[in-house]
Amino acid sequence: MEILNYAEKFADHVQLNIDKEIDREIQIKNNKIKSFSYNHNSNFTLKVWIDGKEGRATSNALNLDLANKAIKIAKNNTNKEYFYGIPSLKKYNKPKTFDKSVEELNENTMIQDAKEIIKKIAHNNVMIAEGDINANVSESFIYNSNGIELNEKSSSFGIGVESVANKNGKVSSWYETEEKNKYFDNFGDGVNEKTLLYLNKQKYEGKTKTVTLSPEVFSSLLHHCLLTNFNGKNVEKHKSLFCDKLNQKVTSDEISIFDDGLKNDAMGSFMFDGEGTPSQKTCLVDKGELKKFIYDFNTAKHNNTETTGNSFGNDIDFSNIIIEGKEKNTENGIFVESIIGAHLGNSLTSDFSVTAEHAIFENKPVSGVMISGKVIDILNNVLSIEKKQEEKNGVIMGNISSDSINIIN
Amino acid sequence: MFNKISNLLKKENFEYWDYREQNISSTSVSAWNNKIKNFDLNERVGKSFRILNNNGWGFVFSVEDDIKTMIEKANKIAKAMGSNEKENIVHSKAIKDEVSSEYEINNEDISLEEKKKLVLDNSKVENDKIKNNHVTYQEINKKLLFCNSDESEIRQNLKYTHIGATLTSKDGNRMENFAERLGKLQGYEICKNLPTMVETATKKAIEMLNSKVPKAGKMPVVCDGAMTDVFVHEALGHAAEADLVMQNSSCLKNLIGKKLAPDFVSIYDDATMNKEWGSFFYDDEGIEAQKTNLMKNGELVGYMHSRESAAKLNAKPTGNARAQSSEFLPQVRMSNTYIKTGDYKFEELIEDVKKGVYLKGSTGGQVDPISGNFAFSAQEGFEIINGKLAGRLRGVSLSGNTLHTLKNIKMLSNKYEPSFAGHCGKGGQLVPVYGPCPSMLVHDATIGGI
Repeated sequence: MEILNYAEKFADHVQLNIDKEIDREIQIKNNKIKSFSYNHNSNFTLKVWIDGKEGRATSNALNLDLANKAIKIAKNNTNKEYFYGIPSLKKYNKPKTFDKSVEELNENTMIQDAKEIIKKIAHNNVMIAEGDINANVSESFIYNSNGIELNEKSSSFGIGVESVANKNGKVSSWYETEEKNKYFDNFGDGVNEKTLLYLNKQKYEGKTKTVTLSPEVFSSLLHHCLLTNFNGKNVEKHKSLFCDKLNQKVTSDEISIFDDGLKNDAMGSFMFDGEGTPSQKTCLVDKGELKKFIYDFNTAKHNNTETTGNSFGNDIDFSNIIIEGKEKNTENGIFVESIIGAHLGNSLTSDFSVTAEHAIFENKPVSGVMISGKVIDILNNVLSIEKKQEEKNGVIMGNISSDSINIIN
Repeated sequence: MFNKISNLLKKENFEYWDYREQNISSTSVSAWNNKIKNFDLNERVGKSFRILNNNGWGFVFSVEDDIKTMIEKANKIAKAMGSNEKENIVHSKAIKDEVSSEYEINNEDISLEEKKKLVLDNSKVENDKIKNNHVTYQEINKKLLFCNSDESEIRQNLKYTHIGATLTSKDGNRMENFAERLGKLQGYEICKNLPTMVETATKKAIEMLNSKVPKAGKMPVVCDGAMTDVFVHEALGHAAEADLVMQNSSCLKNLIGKKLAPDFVSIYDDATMNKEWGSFFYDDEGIEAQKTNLMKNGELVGYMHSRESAAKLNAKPTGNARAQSSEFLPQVRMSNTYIKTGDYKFEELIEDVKKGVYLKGSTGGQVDPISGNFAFSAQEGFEIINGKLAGRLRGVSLSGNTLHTLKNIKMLSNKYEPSFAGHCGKGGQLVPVYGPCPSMLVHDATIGGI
């Protein structure tokens, strides 16, 4: 490729990432199909290293100027804190990330599906305030001066709907979303009923000490309050709860946590990371014991370990988080289905304090509940994790019950 | 460009079309403890074409395709939607204009070496209690072209600069963060503020090591300007976006003309504020930026509109249709949203509070515009005991309901205070927003602690 040949004349190491995508999206507003968008876009990121100094330039158009910019940055940069080189070609396992049903999806089928969803949900005082159907096909390429030349095709098909019920002066809402790497056409079952259910919220006046969190809720808390502590860079910088805790108990015995980039059909799966390292399944916590952090190539080298294939963009990030535990007979207590304020949590301590926007107690919707605590305390005091798993926000798990969550009402 | 597209569309009779073209370049450099962390150049180019045909909107963005191909594609997908329900928009008079934001120092005239030196010099750690000093600089230069079927052709050259400092203090196992941020529709001249920002953040981060978690409960709360801005933006502003009102997603639906707050409460969205982070000249539908009164003397008097929402709700477009870039469809968005100052000195706001909390700065917020329920967190907190500021608090969150809180605003201070220049997210798009507000006393607010 011309740009690589050109950049290699000036740089010691070169890496080019290309992401090409065709994104089609239908927007639904107010029970009506409002718009159809077609977005044909690309992203080119060129990284060069000259005498250990890094230069990075990105654009959605490929031309030699991208190389000139990256070289200019490298020449003006200071040496990185450390730089051990770039990865070379390895053996790769290919998880299933692409399904041709998305690529072959007809625009008229998407429109027909939107009409069916409106029909299924919008009746009996319930309307679809907004929603979208999205079909995305992308291809990622990586080339580097150590001989890596890889590409991988991915697809995603997602539907999200915000429904609103309005009856006798009472208003309720519900948000339902589903995303897979293949086309599906059975979205929306139960959304109408769920929206209507929350019309009749009663003030919570119970005394339970048990709180059950849906995968949607717990995944949100995990992302904002705990996962960064498994990032090897944060451990190196002493910005992790888990510094000096390898091979020590950090959760209850029955809990295991994995970062698994190879899981077939999961939305966070990939064959290679942003540096061209093979994707892998990494056990972070094994039966309560902290086993591993996630790394990119250089952070791993600096910390005398191996990369876990978790380099994305300019950061270290997770693929699919899988949480396993034991399902036990326990009361649900308050079952929390959605929260407001997860992003206000403290990732250094895992503290959170959120409003339970949708919560059920004794089969009835309740209002006026705030929950607070530490995510790490929840994982240390798990009463049950249901076997039936859902994939939400990049986390695959079942409903989780704990008695270490404060209920404020 | 208008003529070129008109010629291509000779045989078509679209209700409306618009075309946007972008050339956006940005330079970002950040340093962590006197070492460069990131140093990037970024460019986003491309063009989009949007049409209203057969009562449906078709939108195409591409870097590579020619305009003719894009028009055909947009027309095909709009036609395929086919609806019997009439889709109206408000048309406007033709505008031919080219505008540029003002600056004293052009960022593009400053060398990369100097920008690197700026962040390196300001990211040194010079205090034993400071663990990390993370300093950021970003410039964004936007060259935008807009033209539409109303025969407008508008070119905007916008130059944004943003600087920030996040200091982390440590004492034993205890760590605290404090951030200062400044963003303006201006050039490199704002960078002279960076040393003071680092100094302030250092002092505050250290002071925060001596803070305690508040007791949760309902109490009077005084919010500083930045925290008031978050309330105005998140709790009222989003609910006053007419697209949310139209789709029953707003707790302010059907409340125009209703008294929702005391007489001294007036709220505006103003995209014309001089050189502010949320300012621009024309929105992404070619409507001139303007000042919109949302609440006047406690009465809800207006919503923010796009061409489409204005047509549906029998209003005028307010210049609030914004898109992150030409890659996205415009949505109704805020610009600089603020509450007008009141009559009181800050000391008067706290003097009658026997037991309450003073919240300063914000680390974010979230609201459900349908119910109006919100949760915000403050960067700093102080106890108020018998009318005086007392001990420092940390991890303080404020939660409540928009309509309930509006009714319970008791006093506003007589000075605008600087807020955080940030980005507001909606529908997967980020746009720059701001809101200088006075301090505000609210009764019966719920405080949580983490």
